[in-house]
Amino acid sequence: MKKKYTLVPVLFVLIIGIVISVSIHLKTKGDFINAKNSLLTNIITTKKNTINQELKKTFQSIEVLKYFFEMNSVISREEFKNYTSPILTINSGIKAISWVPKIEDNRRFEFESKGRDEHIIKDFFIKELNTENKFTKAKKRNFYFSVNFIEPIQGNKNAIGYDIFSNIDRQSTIIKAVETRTFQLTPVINLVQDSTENSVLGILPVYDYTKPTKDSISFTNVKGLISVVCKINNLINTAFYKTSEEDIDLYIYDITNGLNENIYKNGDSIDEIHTQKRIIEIGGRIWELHFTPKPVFYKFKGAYNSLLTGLLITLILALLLIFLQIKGEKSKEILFRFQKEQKNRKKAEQSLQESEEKFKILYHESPDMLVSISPTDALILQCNETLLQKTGYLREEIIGTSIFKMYHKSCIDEVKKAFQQFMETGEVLSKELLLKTKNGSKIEVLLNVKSVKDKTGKILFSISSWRDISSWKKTQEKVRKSEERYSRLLTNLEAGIVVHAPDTSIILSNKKASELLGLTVDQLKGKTAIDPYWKFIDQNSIPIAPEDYPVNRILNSRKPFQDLILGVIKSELNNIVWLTVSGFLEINDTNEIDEIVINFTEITQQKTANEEVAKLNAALEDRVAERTLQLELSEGALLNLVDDLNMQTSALDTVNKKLASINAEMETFTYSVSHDLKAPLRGIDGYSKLLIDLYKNDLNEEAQGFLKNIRTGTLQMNLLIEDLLSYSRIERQEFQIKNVPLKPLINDLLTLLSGEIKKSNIQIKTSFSNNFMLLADSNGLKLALRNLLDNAIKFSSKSKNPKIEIGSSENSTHWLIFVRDNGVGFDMKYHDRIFKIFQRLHLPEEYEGTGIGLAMVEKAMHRMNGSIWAESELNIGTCFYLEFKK
Amino acid sequence: MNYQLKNNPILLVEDNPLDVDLTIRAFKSSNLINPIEVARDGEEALKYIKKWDDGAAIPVVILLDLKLPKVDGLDVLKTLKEHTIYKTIPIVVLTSSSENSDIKAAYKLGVNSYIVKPVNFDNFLKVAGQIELYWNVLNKLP
Repeated sequence: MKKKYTLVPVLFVLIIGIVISVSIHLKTKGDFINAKNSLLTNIITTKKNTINQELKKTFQSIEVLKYFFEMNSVISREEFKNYTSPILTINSGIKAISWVPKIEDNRRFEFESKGRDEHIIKDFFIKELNTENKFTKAKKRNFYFSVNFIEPIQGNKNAIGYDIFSNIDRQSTIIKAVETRTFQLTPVINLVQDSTENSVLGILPVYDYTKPTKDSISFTNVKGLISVVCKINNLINTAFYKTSEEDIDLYIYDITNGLNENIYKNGDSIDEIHTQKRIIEIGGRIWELHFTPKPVFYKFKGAYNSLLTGLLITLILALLLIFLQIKGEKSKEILFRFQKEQKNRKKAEQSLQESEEKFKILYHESPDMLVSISPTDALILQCNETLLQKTGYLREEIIGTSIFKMYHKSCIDEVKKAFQQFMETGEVLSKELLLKTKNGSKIEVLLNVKSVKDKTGKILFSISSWRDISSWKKTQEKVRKSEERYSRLLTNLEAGIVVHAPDTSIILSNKKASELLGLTVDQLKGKTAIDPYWKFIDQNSIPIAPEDYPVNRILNSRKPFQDLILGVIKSELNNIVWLTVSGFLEINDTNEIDEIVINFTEITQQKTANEEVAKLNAALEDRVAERTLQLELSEGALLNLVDDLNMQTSALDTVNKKLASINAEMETFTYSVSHDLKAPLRGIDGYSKLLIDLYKNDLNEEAQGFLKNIRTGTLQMNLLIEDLLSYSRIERQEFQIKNVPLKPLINDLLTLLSGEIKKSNIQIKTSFSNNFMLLADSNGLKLALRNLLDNAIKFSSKSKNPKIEIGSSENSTHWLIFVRDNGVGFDMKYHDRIFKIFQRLHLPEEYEGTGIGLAMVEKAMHRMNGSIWAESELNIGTCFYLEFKK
Repeated sequence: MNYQLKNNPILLVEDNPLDVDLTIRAFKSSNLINPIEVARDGEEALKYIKKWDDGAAIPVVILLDLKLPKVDGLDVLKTLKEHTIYKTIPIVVLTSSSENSDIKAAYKLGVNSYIVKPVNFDNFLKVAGQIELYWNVLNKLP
């Protein structure tokens, strides 16, 4: 039984140990492979990205050259060398860069002969490769892409002159580059200068932007090509080795357009399970990158270490277990005894600890600060937590220091006294002192000290307590301040306050009360309500009986009252102070009156003012009544006025309507006159004329004379109609008053009348300034002046030296124009008649006319807010004045 | 519009019989040989549109009075000048009125000329001559 008992756990340990070791080993290996897999993916992604970026960077450097060629029309070989050398230095992937201009066939000869000088090649010509892969002179084509400059020249000289367009691989790439206007790579090609290594050619077209672009595929504006030769090994290796891990092989396949050509090899891997493929696109080619980890990549280093360690530990554990099993029996007994003893001891300790704990809590958590000092040297022996918390000191900082240090220096003398007292009596009671905390702030405390003495009565140490009374002190301070505030309030109050004792004597009064009552506070004290010094009167100046005095009212009624108006007569001064008085009483617990508070404000001014207002109001009411009456009267008048106005307005409306209808009638009338009156006249005249012409022989002279008279009358009638129409037109026309320059208007009229002026040999004098302007209607003014000039010409034509003067003047209110002639003139007694229609002063055979002219002028002047008058003398002349308001 | 000008008539739109007679005489005295057709009111004048549509000779010029019975002269003018085909016929307003409003209205409607008919027959003859001169399409005996 004993053997069985010991072997089972050993076997158990062994089996478990082995299982764990093996499983840990397997798990580690699995984790390792997983880690390696994700590492591989990371590495591959990094490598692919690096390669992609490096390639792009390399080819982008060529773009710079493109701009260089596009910006400059002529580039020398030297310049080309300068520009390409930094590119070649930086990019080890690039083997050579060349400038391949496009040569039109008609410029071939020129290019070749120039090339001989430039390249110092005797037999320079544009060349191509024949079927045996040898250079021959290029066959005639429309254009050539002939390598002109190439850098570095060493090892590449062979390529100079080679028409890269002649080669089918290059040709398709060139076309694609021109078509897309982008950088394009050829598939892997054999270089003419070196065919040992896999190389690709990069083509970047350069354009001449001065030439028109016909379409995208057109070569017309292609200036040439920049071509770069790259060895793929160099190109890729640079990027491949940029990242450190080297346990990976890389194969690159060009898979553009279904191709599957291996163009790069690094390593000799065939592992296809772990091979990862990535695609990069560059220069129009699609390259597939095959990354394959080398076998060493997955090698599990330290593969069996963990397994061995695990097994070893298992074995040791098993041995240890066996050993312990043997020793186990003896040690069990000793252990049991030990445990029992331990239990007992623990119980005793526990009860002791518990009582100690209770005491500790009491001591440390006491609301008072507790401290014990030694009586000999006043050093602190012990203190509680409360003290530490309140003062902010650490226990170590306090124990052993002098108690005096704990106090504020302002009370140090007091402390010394207290200590003395303690030494003498063994206690100190309720002493107010000031403590100093660690951060320097003060705590007000109440000190109580008791002492602990030995059997001989010698003081062993003190038990001192500090009670923090800061907040209590603060409260006290608040109370004091509050009392102060009320006292201030009472003093400054604009109302008088008097507090009476139940016997009506004054206990308290304020400043305002003194002012109003004319006594000092001290004088007031002790006075009672019935004091010969005061007399109270009511609103109607009737003295108030003493029992109705404010204090007595309350005393008798035990009720407060409010806003009692009364006057105080102070016998000494004999003036009245009017007050509104209120009062209330304080009753104590036994329902007896404690005190009576009377307060009052002065209303003397208001009362006087109110009386004034009342008087004024009475006067005002009288006046309002009076005014109201007046207003009522004038309102009636106003209503009558409005009625009148309404009537007049309606009358005006009627007149306006009548006027409108008259105007319309006038229009019709004029229209008829224009059309219908003239037609019969025309008939009379026409047929008279026809009679005269056609029946001349049948009519005697008298008859012919009659007919002529008929015609003269007819024409006179026509003239009258015309003038009448003109006259009515003035009324109908719209007048526009604006600035009219006089001079051009007069000039027009004189030109118009020049025939008659000449005929009568009239001298014309104008005497107005060139810039004379006036406000008038230009047609109205023209009509007026035309008529006046007509008249002047007509009536002066028979004078000896006929003269007409036209002039103007102005003052601050008016413009004036005059027309003066030295004609027949008229008697001024007819002055007013000449402006009336159909009024004539002369016989028709003397001066022809219809008698409408001046009437028209007057009407026109009237419409322009102007006026006309004349000054005349018979046989001397006439002057007509036209006046216009400014 | 294809018509022979030589023998095409003059259309006179005039209500006053004296004026009609005098106008015809005035034209005759200046040796015009174009036949003169007369419409005595506006409505009659507008009836000519139908006649022209039916093949009647189109006038070389229309002499139009403004104050006409039935349809006003200005309305006749408006209708003719808005007609797609006959708007090209020259129209001369020949009237007694020298009112500005009449003149403006006529020109606004597209009249080719506005002539105030003089009362004096001598002057009327001159005007007739001017019309002939101005519209030299009219035929005249040598």
